[in-house]
Amino acid sequence: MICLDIKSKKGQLGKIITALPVLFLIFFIIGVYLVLTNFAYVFKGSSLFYFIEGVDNDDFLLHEIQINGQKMLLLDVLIQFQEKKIEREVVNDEFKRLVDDQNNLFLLASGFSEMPGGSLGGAERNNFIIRLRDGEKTSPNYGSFHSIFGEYRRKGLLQEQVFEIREEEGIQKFYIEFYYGRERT
Amino acid sequence: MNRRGDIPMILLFVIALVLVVISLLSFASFKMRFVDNSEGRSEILKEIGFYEDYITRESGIIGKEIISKGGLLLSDEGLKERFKEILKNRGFEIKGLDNYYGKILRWEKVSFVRDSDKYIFEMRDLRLEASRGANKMSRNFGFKIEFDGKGEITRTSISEMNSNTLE
Repeated sequence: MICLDIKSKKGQLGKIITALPVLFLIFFIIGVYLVLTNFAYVFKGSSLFYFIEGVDNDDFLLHEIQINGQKMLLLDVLIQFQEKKIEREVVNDEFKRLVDDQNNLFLLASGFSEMPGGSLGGAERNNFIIRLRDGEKTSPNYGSFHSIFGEYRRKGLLQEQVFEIREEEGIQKFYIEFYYGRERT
Repeated sequence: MNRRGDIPMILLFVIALVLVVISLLSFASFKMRFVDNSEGRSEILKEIGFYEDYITRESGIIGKEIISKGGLLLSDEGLKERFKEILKNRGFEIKGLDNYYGKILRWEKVSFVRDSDKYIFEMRDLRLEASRGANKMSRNFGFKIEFDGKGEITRTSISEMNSNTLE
């Protein structure tokens, strides 16, 4: 009986000794998995943070703006600007009023194709970028418009809204991209 | 040698390895599909909410303009005509607002009246619809805006109708 008991204990000890390397191997594999997932997170990134930040801009297109002595909603201003009923200078001057210390960057692009902020070849002149830097409100060169819009789009900060509007050619999709808030570097 | 005792250990190792590979693959191929599925519904709600805000703000701006620019001299009929005229000048471009434009032009379930020293603009039974793929939502509501004698908005109230649907 005693002999059998010792043999059984030896067997258990043997099993434990065999199991330990396998256990360490499993921990090692889990470690490799965690390292790989962290790398994947870095490369894939997460847009959740920026998405939450953008929520406050939901009524941006409902800002009231005074154009030629008449109050209008920003969306109406953009539609009329697209239809060339309002001059760019007039609109730009009013947009400048929206830029302040709290919201020191104003990006606004509109047009009949997707991602109007990426427009080139003259179409970027329908877009607006206004910055407040060192107490001065300025706009960069048109040439850099698409890269600035692209940068904010990549960061997930640029919001896009689409409307169906009636034009002479029929109903068209009108795309608006915007960011209104603090400048991100 | 008896190696049968090692088989469960080897199996444990193989299964752990397979699980790790599967979870890594699923992580790599995950493309926020949960967000895609819910995005349609949230976009519908967002669109309806946006148009509701648009309509109340637009009506407020027009009412304010009428009252501040000679509203005192206008009868209720004059207020109505002036409102229609201003909206016509602003255009009827946005497709999602057809019900609003139509009700104003026909002056159907709309009133804009002077009540002693204040003005009241009211719309009832407005219908907004939005859809994304198979999801569709319609919202029926009404609203009332009160202005003081100078045209400043003193109160805005939204009234819910009972036939809001989400399919």
